Formats: sequence, C-alpha cells, structure tokens
Amino acid sequence: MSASHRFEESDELRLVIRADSFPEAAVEAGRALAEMAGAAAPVEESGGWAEVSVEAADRAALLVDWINELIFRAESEGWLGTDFEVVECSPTRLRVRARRLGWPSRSLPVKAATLDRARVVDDPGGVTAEVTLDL
Amino acid sequence: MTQARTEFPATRIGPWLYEIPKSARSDMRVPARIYADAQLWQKIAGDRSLEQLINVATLPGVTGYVFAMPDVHEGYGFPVGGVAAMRVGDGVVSPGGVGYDINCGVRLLVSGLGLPGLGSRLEPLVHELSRSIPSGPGRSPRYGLDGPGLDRVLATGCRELVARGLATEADLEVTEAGGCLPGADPTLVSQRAKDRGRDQLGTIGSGNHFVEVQVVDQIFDPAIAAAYGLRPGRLTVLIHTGSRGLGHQVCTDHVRELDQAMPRLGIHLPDRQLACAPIDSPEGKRYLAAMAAAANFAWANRQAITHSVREVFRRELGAEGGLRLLYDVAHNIAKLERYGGELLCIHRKGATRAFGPAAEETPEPYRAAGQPVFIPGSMGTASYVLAGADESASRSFGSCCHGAGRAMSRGAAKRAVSGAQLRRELESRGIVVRSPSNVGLAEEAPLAYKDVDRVVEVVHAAGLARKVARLLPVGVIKG
Repeated sequence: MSASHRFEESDELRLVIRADSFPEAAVEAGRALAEMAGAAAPVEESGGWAEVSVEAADRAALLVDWINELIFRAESEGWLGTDFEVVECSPTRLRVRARRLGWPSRSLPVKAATLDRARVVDDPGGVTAEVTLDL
Repeated sequence: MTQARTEFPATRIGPWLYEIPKSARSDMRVPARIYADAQLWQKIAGDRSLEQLINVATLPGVTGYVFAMPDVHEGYGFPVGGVAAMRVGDGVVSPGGVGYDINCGVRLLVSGLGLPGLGSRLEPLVHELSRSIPSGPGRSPRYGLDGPGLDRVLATGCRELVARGLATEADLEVTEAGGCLPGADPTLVSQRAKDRGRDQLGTIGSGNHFVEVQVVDQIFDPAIAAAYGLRPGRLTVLIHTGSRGLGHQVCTDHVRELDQAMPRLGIHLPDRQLACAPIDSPEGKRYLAAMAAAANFAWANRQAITHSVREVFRRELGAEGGLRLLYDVAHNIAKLERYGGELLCIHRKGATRAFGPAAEETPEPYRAAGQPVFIPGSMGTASYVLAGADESASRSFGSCCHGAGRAMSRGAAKRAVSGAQLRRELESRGIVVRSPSNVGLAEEAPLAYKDVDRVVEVVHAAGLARKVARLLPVGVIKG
C-alpha cells in the first residue's frame, strides 16, 4: 500500500495523486489538503474522530466532493483531518473516518476543489487522480 | 489580415480583434472573438484560455460570439475574462460561467481631499484601515448576522444595509442593480453556504482582493472625469472583493447538482466544469435565484467595508474625511439583458459590464458620461477609471476587461520575488503596505500580472470603454 501526491502549477494549483487504489488516493487527497493548510498555520490537537461521507456520479466527482467536504468542515466546524480510515468506498460513495485536529482559524489556503479536468485513471501501477484547486 | 500563431485557426480581423471561426471545431455553435494586441495575443495563446473559450462556444443556446477580453486567462471551465450570451428560450446558464467568487467586483470611493492635504496622516490612516477591515481568509464577527438577518441580506442586498445604517440611498443609486439583483431566493442558498458566509460580511478575504488608497494621477477625459467628480491629486479608495465563502459554496453546490443532472438533461459537455442547465428549467432557475442571493451578499459585503472605511476616514481626518461612492460594478455575474430586442442571459466571468450613456441601466448621474468602469491594476501599479461606451453593446454584449490578468502562477511569483523585498520596494515608492503575510504579497507581485496599461489601451482603442482617469496607489491593504 503506497500513495503520494504532488502539486502542479498553472494559473491555479493542480493536485496529482499516485496511489495503489482509489481509497488510498482519497486518503492522500485529505493528507495533501492538511499539508497545504499546515504550511500556512499551526494546528491544535483536539482529538476525536468524525465520519465524513460523500456521494457523487463517479470517482472523479467523488474526489472533488471529498476535498470540498473537508474544506467545509475546516471552515464551518473548525477542524482538519490528517489521519483517515476508509470505511466504505464504491465508485459513487465514499465514507471515511477522519481524526479531528482543531483548526481555530477556520481558514484554508484552498477555497474549493473543482471539476476542471478532474480525473481518476486506473493504470497497471494503481490509480492516478488529478484535481484542480481554487486558491 | 494575419494568421495568428496558435493551434486554432485564429485570424486577426482588426488591430485589436482576433476571431476563431465556428468551423475551427465541429462542436462550436458560434465563432469566438478575442480583444487583444499582438503582444497580449501571444500571452493569451500560451495558456488554455482559447481552448476554454471554444468550449464555451459549444454550449446550448449560445448566440452571437463568445468573447475574450484582453486580460483573459485560463479559469475553471470558463476562461477568466470571458463573456457569453445565451438565449433565454433555448439557452443554458452555467455556474462555471460566473465563477466561484459570485459578484466579485470593484467599487470606488472619492474623497474631497487631495494627497497633499493628507500630509503625514497617510500612514496612520492606512494603518487604521487595516485594523478596521479584516483581511485574509477567515471571518470576523463585526457585522455578524443571525439567520433572519443573513436572509434579508441575501434577499435585498444593500437595501438591508440601509436599514442597518451602513448604507445610504445615495449609495444604492450608484451601485449596479441598486445593490440588489432581482429574483434572489435565500431559501435556495444551502445552509452550508450560509454557515460559511455568516461572519464574513465586511471582510476582504484573500487572493487578489484588497482595499487601496489611491490618488488621481492623470485625467484622460476631462468632461467625463468632471461628471464623475474626479480631479488630479484627489484621493480615492478602491475596494475589490466578492461574496467570500458563501459565494464559493453556492457555486460548489450548483456545479455539483448540475454535473449530476447532465445525463438526464441530455447535455454533453467538453468540460465538466461547464455543467449547466436550461435557463427556464427548475435547475437553472434554482441556480439563478441562489446566484442572485450570493450577488446580493457581495454587494452588501463591499458596502459594509465602505462603512468601515468611512468610519476610519472620519475618525482620522475629521470633517475632511467624507467619501462619496462613485460606483460599484460586478465582474463575475450572470444577468438577463436585452440586445436587439432579444432577452439574453449574459455570463461575465472576469469581465465588467460597460454600458454607455444610452443604456437604461446606466444610473441617472452618469447618463451623459456612461457607466463608470474600474480596472484595478496589480498591487502597486496603476488602476483605471473608464466610462462604458454604447458601442460595447454590439461589440462585446456591453462588456470590457476586469483587471490586468494573471500571467504567472502564484507559486512562480513566490519563487521570483520575495514578499519582504516587494514590501520594501513599494514602501520606497511612498506606498504604505499592510498585509497579513509576505507570502501573500509575493503571490500578487506586479510581475505575476499582465501590463494593465496595455490591457486598458486595447479596451479603449476597441471602443468598449473610454479611458477617463488613472489612479496610483499610496496605501495598500491586501487580503
């Protein structure tokens, strides 16, 4: 099991994830968001886990919705997830437990994930997922 | 006529205008027109904005031409700096054609005071502005709204702020649409959007948003400048922000809904971010009503910031500190407008409405001059006041550019320039800078943007709007 991510820049920021599987890619997307936020401000441990679930038309839209859900939780509920456990994953539904880290500023450098060229592609090495982020 | 160097068969059909014919791609329904000079064209052809413009030209019900303004650059689905008109009868509305920051826009306040009259009070003035107006991502409880209060803002925009003593009737008269887009329905704005926006009224936000204290540096059209009350040396305040997290969430909600509805609606798109719905469909009507509510929130946001600015000016400058709102205009919005007798849904994303004197919607005080248009430059560079021209109605669906246009990614800008160094450079030119972060400053460095002078020159020469005045910054509060 392995996953990694990188950011590619054009006018905005594109998140590119390589992972063994789609659930791993979703977890990596959550980690990437936390990494971006962590670079901007410190987080406070608050403990506890929260379950987050999203449904969408396909895996690319699912990944976009998942990132948007994490952005919303940070802004409205004041926490970020950095550790994740996938509870359920299908091509149209994703249910994840996320460990809550307090995020008092409720602000993130990412405002939204977009469907702009969003894609999830299976390949012999696993999965490549790409999402453009609005900053 | 010269053939442009691009993967699309673009033809230069005038000194400031390029055209990509409908035949360039089999799915185009209308040709694309791009306002640019040769140098700007090279930059435009270097990113995905032309491909995105062609994608927009495939949308159902699109009519006339799709247009790109000289500051166009790639966006999400729809290019930033793009204009498209859809027939109401058989056309679609696309949230991607408005953008995430619904009713991002600009307003200009004019002081009776000149820069020399300010003397040593400039730095404390800018400092107090930065203390009074929250900037950067996040929220502020100063103008916090309870549920019913937020719903009233969403339904009536700046009208609610008049009731709260934060706006005047005179302010509404010189705000696009009176600061309230008709048809707004707060019940169609999700609770998530309301949660994100509740404590963001009166805040600048982040990115390229800012409040700038400026001085009128040059007058190009004395008659119109006089009609606008602009004189050389006079202080102005430019406010650039939008609907904050609330607008973002409205866009996210509806792109998601429409993306899922595409198969059912039988619409096939070259880019999912262009997800759309017929204007008169339930999905289309829901988006337009929620978008109008978010637009009203944005006008109220700029009005609340105006109130904060006025408070600081009065406190710091006493009787000399009065500020008159010249105008407020959106550059991310979809509106129903009539052209040649036909009702069209005009999508302007990173494009400013530029109505001339003949347009009914041009406010009464500017009926002789044309609607004011504000083009902010990049941080530390000139901004422009233009006057909308009647010719824009036939040339660009009453639209012109909205800024300099990004030419470099934020990351590249951060690598190219140090925020601390940029701050020192601006300060060495007598510009007082307040920003929550040097990183944010670097992201918005002038080198990351196209040359605003060149962009404005194209708009002026193409007859979309007339140059009226140039403003130079003396104080920057960056989001």
